[in-house]
Amino acid sequence: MPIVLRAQSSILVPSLMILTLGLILGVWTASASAQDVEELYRLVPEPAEVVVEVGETTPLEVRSYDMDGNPVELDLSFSAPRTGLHVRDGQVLGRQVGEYRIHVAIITPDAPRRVPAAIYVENPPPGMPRGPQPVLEVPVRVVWPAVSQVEVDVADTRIYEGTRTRLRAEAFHGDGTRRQSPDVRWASSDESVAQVDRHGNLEARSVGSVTVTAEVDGTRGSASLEVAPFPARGIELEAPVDEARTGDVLHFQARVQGEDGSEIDDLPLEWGYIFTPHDSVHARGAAATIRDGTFVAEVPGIYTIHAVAGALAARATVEVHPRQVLHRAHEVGRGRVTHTMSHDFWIFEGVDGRDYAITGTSGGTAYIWDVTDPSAIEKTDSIQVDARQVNDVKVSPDSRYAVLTREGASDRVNGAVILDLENPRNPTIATEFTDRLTGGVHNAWPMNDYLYALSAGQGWVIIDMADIYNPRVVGSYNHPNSSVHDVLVHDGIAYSSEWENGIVVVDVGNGRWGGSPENPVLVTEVYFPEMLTHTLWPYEQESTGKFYLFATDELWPRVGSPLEGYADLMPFDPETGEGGRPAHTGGYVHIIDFTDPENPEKVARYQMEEYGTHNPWVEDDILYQGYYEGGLRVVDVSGELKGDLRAQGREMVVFKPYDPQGYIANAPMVWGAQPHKGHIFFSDANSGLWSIRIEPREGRPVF
Amino acid sequence: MRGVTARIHSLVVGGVLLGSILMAGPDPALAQTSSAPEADYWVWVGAESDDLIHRIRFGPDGAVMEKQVGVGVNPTETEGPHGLAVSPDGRYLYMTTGHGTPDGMLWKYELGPDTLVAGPTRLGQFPASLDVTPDGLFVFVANFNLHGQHVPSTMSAAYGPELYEIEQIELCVMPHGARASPSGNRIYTVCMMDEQLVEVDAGRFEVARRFSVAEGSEGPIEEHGDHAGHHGAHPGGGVMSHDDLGCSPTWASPHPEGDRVYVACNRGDRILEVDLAGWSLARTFETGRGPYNLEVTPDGRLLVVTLKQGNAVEFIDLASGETVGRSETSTTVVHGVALSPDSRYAFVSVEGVGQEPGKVDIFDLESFQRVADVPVGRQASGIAFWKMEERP
Repeated sequence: MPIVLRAQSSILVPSLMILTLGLILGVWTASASAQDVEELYRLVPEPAEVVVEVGETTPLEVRSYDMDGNPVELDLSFSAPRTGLHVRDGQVLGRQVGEYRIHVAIITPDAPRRVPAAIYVENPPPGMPRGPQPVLEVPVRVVWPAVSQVEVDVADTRIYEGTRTRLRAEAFHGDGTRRQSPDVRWASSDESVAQVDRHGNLEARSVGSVTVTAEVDGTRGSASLEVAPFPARGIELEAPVDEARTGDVLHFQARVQGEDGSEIDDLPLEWGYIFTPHDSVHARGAAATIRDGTFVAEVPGIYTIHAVAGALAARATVEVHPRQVLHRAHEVGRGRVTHTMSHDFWIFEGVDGRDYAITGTSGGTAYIWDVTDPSAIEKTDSIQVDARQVNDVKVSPDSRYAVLTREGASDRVNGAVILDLENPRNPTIATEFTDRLTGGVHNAWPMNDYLYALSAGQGWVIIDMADIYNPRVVGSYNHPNSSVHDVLVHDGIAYSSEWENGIVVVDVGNGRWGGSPENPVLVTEVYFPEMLTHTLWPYEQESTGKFYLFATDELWPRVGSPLEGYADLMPFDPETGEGGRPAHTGGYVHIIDFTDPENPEKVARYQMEEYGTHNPWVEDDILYQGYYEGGLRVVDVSGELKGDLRAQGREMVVFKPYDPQGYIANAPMVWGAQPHKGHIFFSDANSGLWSIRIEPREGRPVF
Repeated sequence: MRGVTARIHSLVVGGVLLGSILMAGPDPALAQTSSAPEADYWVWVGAESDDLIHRIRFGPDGAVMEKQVGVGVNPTETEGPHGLAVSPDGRYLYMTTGHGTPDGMLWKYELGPDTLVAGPTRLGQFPASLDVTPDGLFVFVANFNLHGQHVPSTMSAAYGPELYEIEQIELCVMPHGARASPSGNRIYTVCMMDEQLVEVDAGRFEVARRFSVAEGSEGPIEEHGDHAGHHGAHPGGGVMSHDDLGCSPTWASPHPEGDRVYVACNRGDRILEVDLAGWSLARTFETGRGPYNLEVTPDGRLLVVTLKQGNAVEFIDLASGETVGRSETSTTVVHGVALSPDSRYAFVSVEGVGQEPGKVDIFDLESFQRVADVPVGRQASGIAFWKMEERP
C-alpha cells in the first residue's frame, strides 16, 4: 500500500525511539500477519494523555512511524465525542468536564478497500488490546478551569449568639462561568466565636467578630460576621388552628420578644415537630414537613410544632384528621374502540346545543361521538386523514372548528387538519394546513381567533383562524435549544412543555410583557430537577389567589426503577401467544406555584410510583389526571398545595378501565380526562372513550 | 401507533414467521423469464409509521418476513425508523429514527441476536439516510430536517464502535441521502432545496466539494464562505430560486469503481452522472416519473432507480446509458433500494399510503421483473442488504 505524503501530524522521531521500536519488530510482524494487515504503522501521541480545561485548547501531536521505526507522513483522522471535546488542526478544545478518548485512524488513499487494522498500539489504554488496531486511542480528561473567585453568601452579617445559620458559597472561573457543585472547605478565623461545619452550617458561640472562609480548589472567599449578644427573652408560638386535615397547609408564626419587650424579626429560628400518631395509624417516619413555619401533615395524629432559637423554644400543638375525600364512581357509558389505539379526545357542546366528542386513533381516523346522553354514546361519523396517527384533538372554545394533528402522512408534509364544526354531528374538513408544519404536528391549542400548532419539536406557529378555510401564519416562536412537546395558551400566555428543559412561558397577548400573536415575547423559563415535561395545565385557584402549573412527565421506559416492566404495545396474538402485555410507564405531576412568574416555586407533587402520568385537567379544585396504566386519578387540589398530595390522602377516585376485548385486554392506559356537565369523560388507549360519574360523598363509606 | 397490521402480527411467533401469507414465491406469470434464486438473501427494512424494523429472507422457497423488532423508546409516539445500514462485516445494523425531542437518534443493533447494543445517540433534526464506511469506523447521517421553515441542516459524523457523534457538518437545506465512496474517504449527499451534490471529506469531517445540479448550470460550485451551502448556489456563485432549478435532487450514490457518482433529480425526471476526477457532468439519463433513490450494482453494470411518483423501478445499463427495464411496484410511493452482492436482485421498499402495509418488492436484475413482494409495516422506507448464503 503506498503511503500518502500529506501529513498533518507527523514529525521526525528521535533516533533513540527508532532503536526502541526496532527491538519489538518481531512482535509487529507476527501480529500483522495474523490480522491480514496490508501495512502496519506505529502512532505515538504527544502527550500520551491529554488534559485540557473547559473552554481552552491544548496541542495534540501524533507522530507516525513505519514498522522499521522510520518516520512517515500519514493522513490521520481524529474523532472524539463532540459534546465533550473537539479536535481540529492539532488542537484539542475542552467542552465538558469528563474523561474521554480520542480515536485516531489512518486515512488511506482512495482505493477500493481499506485495511482492517493499521496501527500498532504498544501501550494501550485500559480496555484496549496491545497489537494491531484500526485506531489509536488517546485518553483525554477535560477538567474545570481554575477557580478565580469564591463568593460567600451571607444573608445578614449580624448573627446572634447561640443561633445557627446556613452559609453558601459560589465559585467562579476566570471567564465568569460558575463551578457546578463545588467542593467547599469551610473555616472560621475564631472557633470560640463561631464554628462552621462541612455543610456550611454556622453556629454562633460567643460575642465577637469572626471571618468565615470558603475554599474551593485553593481559591478562597470570605465574609466577616459580627456575633451579637442573644437579644431575646422569649418566643411565643401559636397554631393557626387547633385542628386540620391531612394536606392542609398551616403557616405557624413565632413572635420573638426582646429584653425590652419589643419584637425581634431577624432572629433565625429552627423548626421541628414531635408526632404522636393516632392509635390506629402506623405512620411513616416523616409524617409531615415543616419549613420556615409552614407545616403540612400526611398522616393523622397530634403534632407539636417547635420553634427554637438559641436556648429558647416555643411549642404549639395541632390535631390533624384524615382528609376524607373519597368518593365512589361508576361507569356511565362507553364509546368502544378496540381495533386500534385511541389517543387524544375533546368534549364540547356543539353549535346545535348537543354534546359531542372527537377521538383520535393510531389508524389515522378520528371518530365523532354524540355524548349528549353519556349513558348512550353514539358514534355519528368518522374522518379518515392521510396520516398514520391522529395524535391530538382539540376544539376551539366557540366550537367553530376542531384541529386534528397529523403525523406520518404519506407525502411527509403532515400539518394539521382543520374541521368545520358547523354541523358537529358530521364535521367536514375545512382545510389541511401544512405551512411550516411539514415535520409533523404533535400537539396544538385552538383559541377562537388563533391556532397554536407545534412544528415538530422545534417550536410552534400561530395561525390566524378568522377564516378556517384560509388560515394563515401570523407568528411563530422557537425557543433556543427547544424540545417542545405541547403548547397551551391561557390568558394570553403560551406555556410550552419542553421535556427535560421544563416549561417555556411566552406572552402572546397578555400584554404584561408586550407580547402578541404576531410578536411573541419570552416571559421566563421554568425548570426544576426531575422534570420531564410532557404537558401541563395552568390553574388559577380562587380560594387562595394562587396560580399553579400542573406539569406532567411522560417517561418511557422505566429503566433504573425497581419495576422496569414492558414498553411494547402489541395486542395479544392467539396464534403465537405473543403480545398482550400491559405497558409500564413512569413520571409524576409537578405542581409549581407560578403566582409570581419571576419567582416560580415547585411546591408539591402527585406521584404514583409504579405508573406514569400523561394528560392533566384541573377544574373546580379537582385534578383529573390520566395516569396511563394507573387509570384515571381524581385528586382534591383544594387550598394551598405543598408536599406529597398522594400521601396526604387527597385522592378522591381511582377508576381503571378494564376491557377483556381491548386492543390489549384488561390493560388500563388512560390518555387524559375532561369533566363536562357533571360527568367525567376520558380516553383509554386500549378501549376508547368512557364516561363515568362521581357520586356525592355520602354515597361511599369512609374508613 | 406501534402495531403493524393485525395480519402481520398474527403470523409472528418468537420473532419467526410461521404462516405462509407473507411468503411470496415467484409470480407464475413472471417465472417464464425469471429463474428462481439459488441462494438465500436477507435484507432489513424499516417501517417508519409503525416503529418496526423487519428482516426479510428471499431464496429458492420465496420471500418471507422472518422477524420484526420494535424500535424506539416511547410507544405512544411515532419515532420513525428511517435510515438503515449494515456494517461491512455484517455484524451490526445502524438505524436512525427521525422524530425526537426534536433531534432524532442513531441506534446500533447486533445482528443475529438482533439486540440493541448502543444508542440512542442524539443527532440533528430528522436524521434520515445513513451509510457506514468500509472499515466500519464511521457512520454518516444526513439530517434531513423537513420541519418548518427551510434552514440549513447538517450531516452527522459518528464513531461507529462507540456510537458517539463526532461532528455536525453544515451542508445546506434538506440534505438527503448518504453514500460512502468505495474507499470510504468521501461521502456523497444531495441538497433537495439547494440543488447541490455535496462531497464530504470523511476523514476531516468537512465539506470537500459542491456541485450544482440545477438544470443548465451543472458544474462545480465555488466556495464563497457561508454562501455556498445556501439556496440555489450555482457555478460562479449567486442565488437562484428553487422553483427555477428543476432537479430537486434526492439521492447520490457512487459507482463501485469510485470514479463516478449518480444523482437522482426527483423533479427533473433524470439522473446525472458526475465524473469525480473532473468534477463535471458526464452524462444525463432520462427516467420515468420521480427518480428518488438509486444504487449501482456491485458489478458496475446497472443503475437501479426507484421512481417514487412513477410507482416503478427503472434499470439503466451504464455502458450504453439506455433504460433496459422498468417494472411497476406492488403498491405506491416507492422508496429505497438495496442490491445483492452478486448483482442478481434488487430489494425495493415501497411505503404505501395511509393504513396500507408497506412492501418489500424484489426484482430480478436479469429479467427486470418483480419476482416477489412481502408486506411489512406501514411506510416502509430505509432498506439495507444484510447477507447472502449459497444453498448447499
